[in-house]
Amino acid sequence: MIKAILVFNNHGKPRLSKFYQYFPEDMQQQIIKETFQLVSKRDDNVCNFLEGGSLIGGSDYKLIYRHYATLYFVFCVDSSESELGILDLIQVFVETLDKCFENVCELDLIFHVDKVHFILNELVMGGMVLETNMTEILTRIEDQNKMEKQEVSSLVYLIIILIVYCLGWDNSGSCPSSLGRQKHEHSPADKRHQTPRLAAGHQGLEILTSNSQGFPKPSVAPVSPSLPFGVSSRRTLFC
Amino acid sequence: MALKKVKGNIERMFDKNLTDLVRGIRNNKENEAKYISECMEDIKQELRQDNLSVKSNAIAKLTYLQMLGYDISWAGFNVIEVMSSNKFTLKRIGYLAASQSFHCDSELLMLTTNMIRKELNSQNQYEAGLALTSLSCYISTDLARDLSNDILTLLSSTKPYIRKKAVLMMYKVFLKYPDALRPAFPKLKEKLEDPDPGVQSAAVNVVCELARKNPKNYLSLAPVFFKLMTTSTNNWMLIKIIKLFGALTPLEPRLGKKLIEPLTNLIHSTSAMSLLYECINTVIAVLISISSGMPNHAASIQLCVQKLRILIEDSDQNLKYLGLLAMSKILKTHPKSVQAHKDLILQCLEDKDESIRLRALDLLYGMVSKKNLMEIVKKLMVHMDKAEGTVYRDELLSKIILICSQNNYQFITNFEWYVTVLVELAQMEFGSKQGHIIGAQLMDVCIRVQAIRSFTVAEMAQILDIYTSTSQFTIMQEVLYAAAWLCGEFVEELKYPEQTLKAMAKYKMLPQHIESVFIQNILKVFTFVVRKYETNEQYEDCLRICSSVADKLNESIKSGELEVQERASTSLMIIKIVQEEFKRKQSGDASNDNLVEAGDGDNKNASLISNELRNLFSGELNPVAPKAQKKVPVPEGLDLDAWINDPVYDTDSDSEPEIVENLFIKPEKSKTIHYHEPTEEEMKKSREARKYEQQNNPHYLKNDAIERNGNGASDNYDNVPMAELTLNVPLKVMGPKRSDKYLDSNAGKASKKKRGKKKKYKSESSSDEEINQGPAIEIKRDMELPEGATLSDGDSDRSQNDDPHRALDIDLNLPAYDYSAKPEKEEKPSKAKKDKKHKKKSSEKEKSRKDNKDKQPKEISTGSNRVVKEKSSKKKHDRHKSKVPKESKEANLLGLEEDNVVKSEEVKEVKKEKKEKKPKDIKEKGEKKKKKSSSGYEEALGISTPSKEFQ
Repeated sequence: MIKAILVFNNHGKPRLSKFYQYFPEDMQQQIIKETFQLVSKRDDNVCNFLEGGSLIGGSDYKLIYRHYATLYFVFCVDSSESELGILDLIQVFVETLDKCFENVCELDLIFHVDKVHFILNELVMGGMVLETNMTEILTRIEDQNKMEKQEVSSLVYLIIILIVYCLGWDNSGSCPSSLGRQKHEHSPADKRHQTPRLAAGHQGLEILTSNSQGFPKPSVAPVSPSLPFGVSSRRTLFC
Repeated sequence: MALKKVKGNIERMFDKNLTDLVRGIRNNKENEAKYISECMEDIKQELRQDNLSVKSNAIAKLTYLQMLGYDISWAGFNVIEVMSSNKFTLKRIGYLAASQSFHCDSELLMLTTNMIRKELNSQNQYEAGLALTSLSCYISTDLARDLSNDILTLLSSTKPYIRKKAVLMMYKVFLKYPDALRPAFPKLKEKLEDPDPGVQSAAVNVVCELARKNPKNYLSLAPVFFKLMTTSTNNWMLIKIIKLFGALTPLEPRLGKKLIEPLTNLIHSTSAMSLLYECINTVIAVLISISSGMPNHAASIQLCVQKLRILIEDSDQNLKYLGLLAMSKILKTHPKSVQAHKDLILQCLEDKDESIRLRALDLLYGMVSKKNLMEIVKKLMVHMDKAEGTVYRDELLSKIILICSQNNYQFITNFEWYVTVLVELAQMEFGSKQGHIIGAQLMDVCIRVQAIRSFTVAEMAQILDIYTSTSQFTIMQEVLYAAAWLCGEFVEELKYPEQTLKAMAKYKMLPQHIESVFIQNILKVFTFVVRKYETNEQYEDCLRICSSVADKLNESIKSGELEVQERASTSLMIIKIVQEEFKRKQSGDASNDNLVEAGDGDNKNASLISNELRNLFSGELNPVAPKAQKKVPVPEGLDLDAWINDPVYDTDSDSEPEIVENLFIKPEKSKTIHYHEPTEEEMKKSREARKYEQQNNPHYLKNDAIERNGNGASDNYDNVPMAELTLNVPLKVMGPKRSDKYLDSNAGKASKKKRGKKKKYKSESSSDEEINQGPAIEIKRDMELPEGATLSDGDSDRSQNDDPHRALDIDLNLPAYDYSAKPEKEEKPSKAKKDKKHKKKSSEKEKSRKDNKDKQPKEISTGSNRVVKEKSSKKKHDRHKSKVPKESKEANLLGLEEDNVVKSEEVKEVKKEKKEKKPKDIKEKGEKKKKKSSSGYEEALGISTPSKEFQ
């Protein structure tokens, strides 16, 4: 079972938190904090397993994490999960994000936390691995996005968007169609220059079956020196 | 209406959406809290509006704030409103918020039941999927009960996406509502062979989770899993299955034997490291469960170790870590094969990764032998110098001590070396707890190993000397505790007792418990020194020492700590008395010189005051087994429960009320002690006797030090069998009896073994065993009953609350079997086929076991089974089952095979029909498997049935 999935940046700011066991909010924050402290101490070239923090789990639980550019992806799992399998799962998750957001970077996670949740929900359900096949996951996400788009294209909404558009109002958060627009405005190449990308390795999902290494080495995932996120440079794009 | 809608939407334009919120927070880094509280106000405003999209916008923002640690449970009702929207977009936001903020105790969940049910039955698979995903995060017992049937029907949905989610959902339902497991299990089992790999994998996942906690109930599924394992290529699923087998094998060793071959094949063939690793892990588990009798046993171990070596040698730190982790599992049962890779493991100690170093340290424990111990410890000491971070250093230290002290110092050939190592360690910097370990270790070695005492004491004296004379010398204070105690206890071994006495008397700024030990041991050394002078009639020196010690004690008397104060004043009084005596003697010496000359040596010796002093500390010290006192046998004819006098509660209130109070914790004891005394007179006598005994008993402090390392164990003393026994049994018998037990056995074994520590240990354990078998057990029971009963009750309650899996410990074989016997799709034919083939084999194999007597009840039970089947209602089933007495249940299990024989004829027909319907792949599998199954698969089947016999 997966007990929690946490994503936070190099400074410990939470970007996604999913607990499959109930904790009150303050406890959740404490767990994130503690996990961050445990994980951030470690070099990039050490192993990706940590024997549990005190707050979450206990002796049976392990923290399995990966560090991508500015973000840490941490899974807290018990002994029924395969360590290497979960590492793969993290890779699948990040690659899926990469596909969905076209070169995902931290900002995507910051502004589209809900979308990230929806993607995660296609991978893991209630603490159990739901699907590991990336094509399957992507199809499901696509289908659901289509459903949303159909609803969005209702007449009233279109008018609103038009007005918003004319006013130059950025409405990207709640309106998925505007997401594409936004992406369009800033070409991926542009983005790549400014922000460290999370996942570069696009080698297939069937890591377990095809990759002779069994799972991608950390070097596959670009662990580019984690620049502090270019907040100032990016902010202009949004404001 | 439409106008209103438009109006609402236009208003909405001016609300902040999630993106605005995020951006706002990022722009207001300085006063984030203030900004967010403003936003909260806005959100509350928005939630008050009728427009659902406005609300959903607010909820989306709340979900974000929840991640930042804000409590949003107050908006629960609004979340539900948004969840009930018709639009997928809005609904999605609502369900997301619910999954993030609801929990199973929320009262609001009542409101969601029907809504979720509607959603589950929705035509759109994504709406149902959405509800399932969300529900999995906060399902409550009520929801589980109400929705379990809906979810169960989803298991046979036509859409794999729904099936997959429903299967996983079932696990959550089981956790909250264990009653659902029994009726749902057959369907779940069916899903193990679902055509969709995703569903199959989900089912495997669920069964694995279930079986992890209650493996014995799932042994019957072994054949299905075995088939999956040999046919599937989905590594995710394989990993789960292999892990599951790892949990099953300890229960059924024969399963393990069958597994070895396919697992080794997998190990050889797979290229995926994760799968390889899990295979190795399970092979290890199998090998642990089969203790012997495997022909290629050694070969498999060798293979595992080889593969692990490859992992450890890999440049990838993750593989290295896991390799070491698995190695440590092998180490427990097959230390030799791991020892061969000592070089590799020592190499890992140098690794830059701390977790890897810690793992390697774990392994070292098993690598040690007499020959290499010193070398290994030396390496560790070098690491200790280099190591940064107290956590790792502490770990190193405790590992060094663990390695050296394992099996009662089995591997230590040179104790002087070990003591030196300990002294060296004591001078390094560690966390606060480590000094305690070193101190305890020093005392332990010194007490157990007689030969090393003089050396240790010399070292300790040196430590005290240096510590008190220079301020630069850093040493852990807890070690001083040991040093002071050892110097005091084994004062005869001191070379320069007077110098040591001076050094000890210079102590300063010590923690309370150490200071009191110092005072006590100063008195011991003092006695020794004074005695020497007194026998030589050097009263001058005696007085000099008296006054110097008294000076120091006068300081300590002012200490704020009670313990220190008390000890200091006691010691001081003793010294003053002695001092008086010396003064008298000194003056008497001068005047009565002539008279004394006439007296003979004996007389003089007897009058030595130091001899009396020495009596305070005389007595040999022996290690006492833990709980030894409890195990002192009750003398024959003594009934501890019988009243000696009728209970009168106001008798002698002056008889140590504290003790009585303490003992009320263990009521029965207190009774016996309190009312044992027949007469006032005897009681007084025995009390005095006990006091005397306590005063003279050197075991007082020493026991403390050995067993508890000096931490407030004094309570226990009053507690006890000891008090009780002094009353009942003549004192003289009691005292020696206890220590004699160890002395005697010591003496008995002394001739056999050279090492002191070994014989002592042995005598302890053996005497323990003897006592255990003796009448002492009764005492133990008496003591534990009142407490134990309540304790264990509380325990089970707590763990039940903690662990929902306990409720899932349901014997699934009954319903599983029953349902599979019902005409359910593919289940029956395949099973019948297996069973038929299997029957031939097993009947040959197990002829010897089964005789006709066994068969008869089986037949009967089959009959009852079939009756039940005809009724075919699930609920009736269960009720019926529960009524069946245990015996017939067992018979029922046993009867599985025979039952199938009876049915096999009907089944054959069904099988023919079904075979045509069956998907192609199963046919192919069947053909392909024929060769394999004759060897591997079938035998695996063979195992599962006998396992039922054992249940």
